Amino acid sequence: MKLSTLILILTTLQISATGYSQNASLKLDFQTGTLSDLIQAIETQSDFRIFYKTDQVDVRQQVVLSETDGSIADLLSEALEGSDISYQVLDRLIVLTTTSAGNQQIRITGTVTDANSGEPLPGVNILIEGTQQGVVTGSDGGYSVAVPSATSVLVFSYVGYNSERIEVGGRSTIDISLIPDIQNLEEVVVIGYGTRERKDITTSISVVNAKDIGNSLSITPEMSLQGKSAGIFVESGGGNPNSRPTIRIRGTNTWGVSDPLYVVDGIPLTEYGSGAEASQGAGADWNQAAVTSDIRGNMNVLSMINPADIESISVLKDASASAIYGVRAANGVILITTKKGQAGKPRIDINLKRGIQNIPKKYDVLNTSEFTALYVESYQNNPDEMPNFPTVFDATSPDYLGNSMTYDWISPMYRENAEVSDYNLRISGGNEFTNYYVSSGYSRTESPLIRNNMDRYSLATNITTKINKFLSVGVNYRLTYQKAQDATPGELTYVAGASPWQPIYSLDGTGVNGYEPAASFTFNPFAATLLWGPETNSNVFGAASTKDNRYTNLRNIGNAYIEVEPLKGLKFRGSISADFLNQVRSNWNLYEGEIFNQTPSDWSVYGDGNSYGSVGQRDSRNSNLIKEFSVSYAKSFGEHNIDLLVNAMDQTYNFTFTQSSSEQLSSPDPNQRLIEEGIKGYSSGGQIKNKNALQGYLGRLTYNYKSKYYFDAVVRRDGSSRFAPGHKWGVFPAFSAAWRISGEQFMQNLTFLNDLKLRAGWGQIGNQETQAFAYLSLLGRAPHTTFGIDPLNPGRGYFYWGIVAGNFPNPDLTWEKTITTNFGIDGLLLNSLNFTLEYYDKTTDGLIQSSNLPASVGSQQNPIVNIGKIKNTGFEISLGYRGKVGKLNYSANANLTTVKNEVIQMYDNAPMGDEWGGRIEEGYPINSLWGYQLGGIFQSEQEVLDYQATTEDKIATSQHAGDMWFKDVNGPPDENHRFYTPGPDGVVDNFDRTYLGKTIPGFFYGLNFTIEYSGIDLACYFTGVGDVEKINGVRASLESMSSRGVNQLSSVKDRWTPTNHSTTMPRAAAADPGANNRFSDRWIENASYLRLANLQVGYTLPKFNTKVFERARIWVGGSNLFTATQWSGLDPENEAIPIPRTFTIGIDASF
Amino acid sequence: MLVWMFSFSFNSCKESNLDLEPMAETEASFFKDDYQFFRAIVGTYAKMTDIFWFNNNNPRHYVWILPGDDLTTRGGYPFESFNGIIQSEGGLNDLWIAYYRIISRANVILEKIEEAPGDPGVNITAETSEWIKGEALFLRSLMYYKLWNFWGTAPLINKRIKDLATAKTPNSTGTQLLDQAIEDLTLAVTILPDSWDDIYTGRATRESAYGLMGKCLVFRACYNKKTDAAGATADYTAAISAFNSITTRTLVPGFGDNFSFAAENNSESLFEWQAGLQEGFENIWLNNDFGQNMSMHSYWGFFNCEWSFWAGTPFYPTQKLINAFEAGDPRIDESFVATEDGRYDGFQWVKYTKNIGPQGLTNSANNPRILRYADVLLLKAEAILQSGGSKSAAIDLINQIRTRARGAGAVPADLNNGETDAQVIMQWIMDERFRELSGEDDHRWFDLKRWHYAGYIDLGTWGSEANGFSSVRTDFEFTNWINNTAGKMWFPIPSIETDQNELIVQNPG
Repeated sequence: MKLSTLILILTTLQISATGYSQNASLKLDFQTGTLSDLIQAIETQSDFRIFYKTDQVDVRQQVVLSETDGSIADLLSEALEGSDISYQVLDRLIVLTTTSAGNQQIRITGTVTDANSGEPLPGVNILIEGTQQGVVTGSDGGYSVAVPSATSVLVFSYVGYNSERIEVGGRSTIDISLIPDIQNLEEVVVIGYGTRERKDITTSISVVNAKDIGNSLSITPEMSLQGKSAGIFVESGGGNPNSRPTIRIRGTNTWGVSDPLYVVDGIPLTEYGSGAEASQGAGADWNQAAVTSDIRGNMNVLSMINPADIESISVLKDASASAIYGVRAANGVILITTKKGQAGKPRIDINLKRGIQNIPKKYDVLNTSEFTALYVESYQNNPDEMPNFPTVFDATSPDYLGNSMTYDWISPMYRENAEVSDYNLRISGGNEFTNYYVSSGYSRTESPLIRNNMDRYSLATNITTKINKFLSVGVNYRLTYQKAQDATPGELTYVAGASPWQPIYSLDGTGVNGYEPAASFTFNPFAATLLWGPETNSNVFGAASTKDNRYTNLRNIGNAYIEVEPLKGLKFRGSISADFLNQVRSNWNLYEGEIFNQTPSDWSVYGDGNSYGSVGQRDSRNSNLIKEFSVSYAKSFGEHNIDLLVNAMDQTYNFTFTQSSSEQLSSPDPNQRLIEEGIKGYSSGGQIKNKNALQGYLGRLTYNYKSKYYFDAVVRRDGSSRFAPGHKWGVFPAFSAAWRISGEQFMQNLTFLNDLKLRAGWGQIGNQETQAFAYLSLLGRAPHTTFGIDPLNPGRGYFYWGIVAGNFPNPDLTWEKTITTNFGIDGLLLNSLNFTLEYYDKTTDGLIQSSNLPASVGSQQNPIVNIGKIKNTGFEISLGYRGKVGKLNYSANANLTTVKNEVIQMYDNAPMGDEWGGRIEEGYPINSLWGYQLGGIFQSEQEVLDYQATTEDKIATSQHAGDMWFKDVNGPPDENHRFYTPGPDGVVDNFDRTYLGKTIPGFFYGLNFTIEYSGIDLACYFTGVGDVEKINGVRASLESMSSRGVNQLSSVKDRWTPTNHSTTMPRAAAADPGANNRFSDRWIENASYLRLANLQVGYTLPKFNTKVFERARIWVGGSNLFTATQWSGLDPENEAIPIPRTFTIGIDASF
Repeated sequence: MLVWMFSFSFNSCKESNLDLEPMAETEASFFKDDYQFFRAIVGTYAKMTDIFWFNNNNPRHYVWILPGDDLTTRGGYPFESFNGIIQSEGGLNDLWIAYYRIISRANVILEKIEEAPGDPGVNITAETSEWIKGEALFLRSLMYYKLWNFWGTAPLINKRIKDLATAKTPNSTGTQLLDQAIEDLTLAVTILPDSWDDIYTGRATRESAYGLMGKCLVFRACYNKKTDAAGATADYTAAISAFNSITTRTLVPGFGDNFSFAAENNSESLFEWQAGLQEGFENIWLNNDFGQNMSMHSYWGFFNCEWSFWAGTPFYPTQKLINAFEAGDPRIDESFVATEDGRYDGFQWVKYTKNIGPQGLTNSANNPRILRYADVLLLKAEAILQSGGSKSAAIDLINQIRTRARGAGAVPADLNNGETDAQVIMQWIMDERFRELSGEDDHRWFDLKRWHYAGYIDLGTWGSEANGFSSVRTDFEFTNWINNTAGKMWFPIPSIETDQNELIVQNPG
């Protein structure tokens, strides 16, 4: 009712002061809401009527009732406490007035938003400076407050944001954007089994929050870590949406499994093949690794977590942070925390983005006449090979193809403007009892190469409810369905090397599916003719049209908990979590595709001889069940703050892989590509199973005094099924301490210094990733042979199934232990510049190593022992600055990490690994590059003779002008040198292979800049790595100029000839008599790069559209826009499927 | 509620949850009955795939085929030109690994058979126990025979190595490798069966062991001849006795049956490697220990199949071999054919590929013949001749080969069994072996070396010319190589061994 009505009533009624009084008691169904809501509640639930003057009383302010029954006076007093509103009860009428009414108060309204995202900020405290009066913004970020004068100052403050002071001036509307403060001291950080305010952290933790994750255009969450934080090295898996990035936290701990542990909402993820069984490093069992990676397929299981659902990613970098994950934590822990609902009215968020991506570069290869000229020259340069000179290169032969046209084999591999799209819808909200969050998303990513894409459908729900003061429960469920095609016809290198005269598409329209065959053949007896001579390439495009390979993946991750809090601060919590991941891989292959094959098979012998093709399906089931129970207690005794946690967990993991296939396909009809049952000999099946279990008990004590002196201790006791009885259990302790020096009295004068904290930590953590049951002597069940004479099967005989026994079990095998020591300084200067400087030292001891035994032992698998030792040391530096010029907000962040990796000790001190795979040798970094050292190119035959006068090159069969020469650096072992003797010995042979470079970057860094000006925002992210080398395998194959019929990069046009004395590109010579192509630093390049990883420009629509949506932002972005590098290939990060350049537009809106 | 939570958690956290059993067999649970021992010997035979298969387009046959003077290639192989045979060479390393893995698998079986009587849980019949032991000894001997012929010295391991402390074995001295093979075969001939049921044909028999034993004795005699003539004579005599114990083998009428997939394990055969093909799809890139779709095949693509031999250059007969046959010898057509277009320098090798069977050159089921009766007869002739036995008996043995070769025809005619010049007769034997066994596994290079040691020939004088090694390579450097190896002609011990085992003394060169 309006006041004018009240006056009317007052003047027409005689009001008795008795009767319905302010002492009347009533019971309201109301706890929190706006004053307007309260008024409505009182009016509907009692006989009271409430009057107020709308221009004086702001009914939008939040009010809270702790007691819901009592007298109207009690209720109103509580509700209006602290506000400027007073009430008067007149029988059944209540009149609200502002205390300052008549004091010419100025009413200010406005909205508070996030400066970067433009999202409204509910719950922002707005205080009138110098008073106790203030208001809090509503769920739409709106507020209304009355101030005494135009000189009043409003102070806006909110956890996680920089506070703002604004003088009212003459305005009645003040809209303001608060700038998030990533390094804000009160920011809550997920630390594993709990959270902590940033200022209280004593360990090394990096956090990437939702906004940074949202800015990354990748559909997989790991990529949002690239360049964002010190200590975390991320290498992209390239343009294939199914491939997984490599992540290393503070260096490479081991040549076994160096991947960190991933924990999603408390659920540690376990996946078949993520352990030692898939290791392809030195000493690993090739068969096992190949089988494992084959079973695992090309799938990044983390792409099944929708980044849009992620609230924050915490990376636990040192032992004191990660030791609570014990035996799994040696390589660091990545904690992914997903979004949850917040109290308030329902909120709808929509993110839509759509983009295109392309690989910016292509290999430049020779055309047909250049190709022909090269190989003519190459054969002429080696008289021994001249008899093998293929007639297709011989201009006098009828087979000559040198006059053919040039076909471009590379472009058909590229998918122009490959699609990337991502659509997300999220609804969340809640009240004081229950919060909920529901999200759904769809995304599609196409590789920049053909026949490779992924679609993801995701759903997440999250409900937490507080049943009463003591009891709360929650459920979190996530469902992801993924469909992927992984059938790129081949490698870019292969098509780049295809003979340019061979057509791809059918010349006369007779080819299968429009493609030109590579071979023709007759059956029985089988005889094949290659249509383009011995230089014929497989027509991989045609072959691809007759086969396919697809995945469908389904993941269910769920978690339910119940929490009891019988006393304030004492919590008992029990939870069950499950992660079920199923992968189905289906493939088919039509035999007619053999005509595209360079090495065609006689498919008349497959199936019953009339089969159209083969079909197969593989089904992998991972199930991971975790039960946990914890007790925590937090209490302050005066200035002493204590937080205690004990936890017990039990995890079981099961894996089943079932495959079936048939080579009998009775119809080419896609709908009939089924594995027929019961066709003896043509259909087959098989199964692999795996399981493991883990238990852990942990205790954590956190103590601080006056938020100045901190001490943390963690002990975890872990048991793993992977080790023999007696070796299953281990204890992992860690300690950390911090001193907030800025909290001391003597620092108070340094006003520019807002915060300064010194920290130190030490801890031991484990890595259990070794082959399952390495402590037992397992049998290999693979070998088969035949015996006997089967009249129905001449020449083949009867099948017998064998076993291999006799590997080396190691019953004493136990986990690797990584010991981390860490020192750090955190500080905040002038409230705008924050910095962190850390030094770390990680030493992995008892490294689980395949002992490289002499081959004469004859062991199929090398025994696994705890021998090796690795050390990683380095610095991490992070700097962040936030500033403001007028309405322009800006920020700059930089981080740099250095890594020094060194192998300290190995089994038997013996180096492992070969030239192409990476060398592991004491005193050098893991996986270093190792081979011959290039000297130069002989410019004349005299130079050859001069060289040969002192040095015999045993690798070369002959040397001539234009060949490369290599340095004589070592000799064979002698009594003092077991592996090689340093110093020239007059012979270049395998002992002259030596250290050539390192593959672990010596440093990596990230630079981020943001600018925001009245609704327009700009953000750019640079990432880079330095001090690193890589093998350019493409050049090794496409600059070798020695194999037959492999097209070469156009860089070979600068090759050495008697008239062109190149000093970098040797002569062309068939079969490479000078061994120019041996593995040497010729193929090694500096792989450092600086990349503009991401650039985004957005515009947040002004407030006038509020009726349609609360907030809307449109943006355009690009990723991988610019790369500075000396790398000569397509991409220094991933040469196989280069990282594409992406342009994206998007809309983010909230309703 | 709290009680429920506690009980739930404590029940689930029993530490016995960690005591998982592996979902595959373990050594401790295996080797309990006849069938399980059989599966172990199957695994040992199966490992021979590593020697003969396509090997990811790195077939290793060149190591034993190219050094001889029977086949040659234009391709740049160090074993053809004797130029660049270094210890890190891939073929040498691969063969070394394969041989020792077979030895290791045999040693495990021998250990288990030895332990069986003391283990009440093992129920193996005496017969199976003996047979499988005999097979394990035979396969191990075959590997020592090969190790001897390539390297002369190598770690001699006749017990399973079970711990890291004993993982390094020094290399053998003298003829230890052959000595061990002869000793093992002497035992094997007493326990192996005379024959196998049809479904097991191809497993080693008593006569396989006699054949290999005799061969090892002849080889040891050759290597010892110059230093210990009496010992050599004793070895020749023992070899003759071993060969005489072979009674069920005969020369098959058709020479070509020895290389045809359709006539495997025939009456001339003493031992072959049982190449097979998967019933379904065989992935030629997967080795035999891979699992599903793995390889069981032999590979012959280096003889004529350019398209499966990727960048390789084919192997074909030397001019010397072509010249060695008398016109009209029926063995010519089974060995090589003239090419119409002049490829392969005019002649293509067809032994093994003429009747290669299903699938063919990339993955073939055609068995490499390792030991056949014709070889035995010629070795016996040599042993008789060199131990001072009847020259006419020796010549008669050569004539048996020639008789079978000509079939119903006239060429090659019988040699005069009245010849008395031992050198002439030895030359006849060598020439007959050249023609009869050319291009077959492990023959020519091994023969040339032992004859050189015994002094019947002098390889030091051989060049690349048509009456020497008859190599088409211009970078042929045998003389240089033989000098570098101090005349021993042993290959360097592979780096896969020397890198890890400092007890090894490297061969000269």
